[in-house]
Amino acid sequence: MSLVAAARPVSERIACELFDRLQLLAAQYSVYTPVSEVIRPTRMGGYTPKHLQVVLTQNDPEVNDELGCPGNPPATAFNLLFNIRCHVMPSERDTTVVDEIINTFDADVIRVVTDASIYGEMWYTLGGFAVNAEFQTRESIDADGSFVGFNLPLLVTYRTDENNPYNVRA
Amino acid sequence: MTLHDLIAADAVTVFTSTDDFAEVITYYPHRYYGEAARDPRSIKAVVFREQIQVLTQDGDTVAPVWQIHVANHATLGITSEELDLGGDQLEFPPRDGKPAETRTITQLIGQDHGMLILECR
Repeated sequence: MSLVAAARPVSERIACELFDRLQLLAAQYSVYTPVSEVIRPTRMGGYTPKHLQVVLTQNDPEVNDELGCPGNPPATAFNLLFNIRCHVMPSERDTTVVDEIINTFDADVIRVVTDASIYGEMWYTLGGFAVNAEFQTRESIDADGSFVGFNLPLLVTYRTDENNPYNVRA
Repeated sequence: MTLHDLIAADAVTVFTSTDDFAEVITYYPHRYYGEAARDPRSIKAVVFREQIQVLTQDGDTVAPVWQIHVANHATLGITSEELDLGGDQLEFPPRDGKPAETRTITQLIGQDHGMLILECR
């Protein structure tokens, strides 16, 4: 049997699972937030900002020493922060209060990722690949004034074999 | 002819002359709900290409940025009155020689009676 049991490492399978859940927003999941598209950027971006667009990126994983496990092989736990960037760029002629759009967009992102009717009560395992997942504080994106929106960080904790990042460890 | 008029005329004939540094690109006006359709049109512009910016919330993710200079003009450029930073787009080659791509206008960096300076991402 191959050491690499699956085609993708655990971190990538978590990213794909999160991406798949977010894509429901672009498939009429919510009548309030008709998301235009969900993007995982290429090296050079590969997208242009649009209203109600979601861009999924991630930070570097960090070892979580407390949740590692002894064994043969031992299991290494990681914290991986995903950034769910939600672009809010309505028409200048749109009279809707922008905070209303942001509040609704934020709520729908949380709802689509955690929907118990689709993923059960253990939504936070992200398809069985993670130990835990929890949303962090929402951050505004408006630093340079060119486009606004918010970033909704999702902190995911997962475990793999120390010597095989493709293998999920409970 | 007043200075005011000269600025407007020079924007079209000098600053966006395709014999010099300008090129022809396509402007796609945003259509808001219930509004009459506005057709895309060819305009003249000076394109400053791919100035890379790092998106800090995204770690190492970069976002190419283009700065576009166009005349503040209803047919040969874009008027400051019609510009909508919530959906207007421009189509131009992202790098010299590459096929044209559509990019969203994200910011009005500068404006006067003659010219608009736009940021595209």
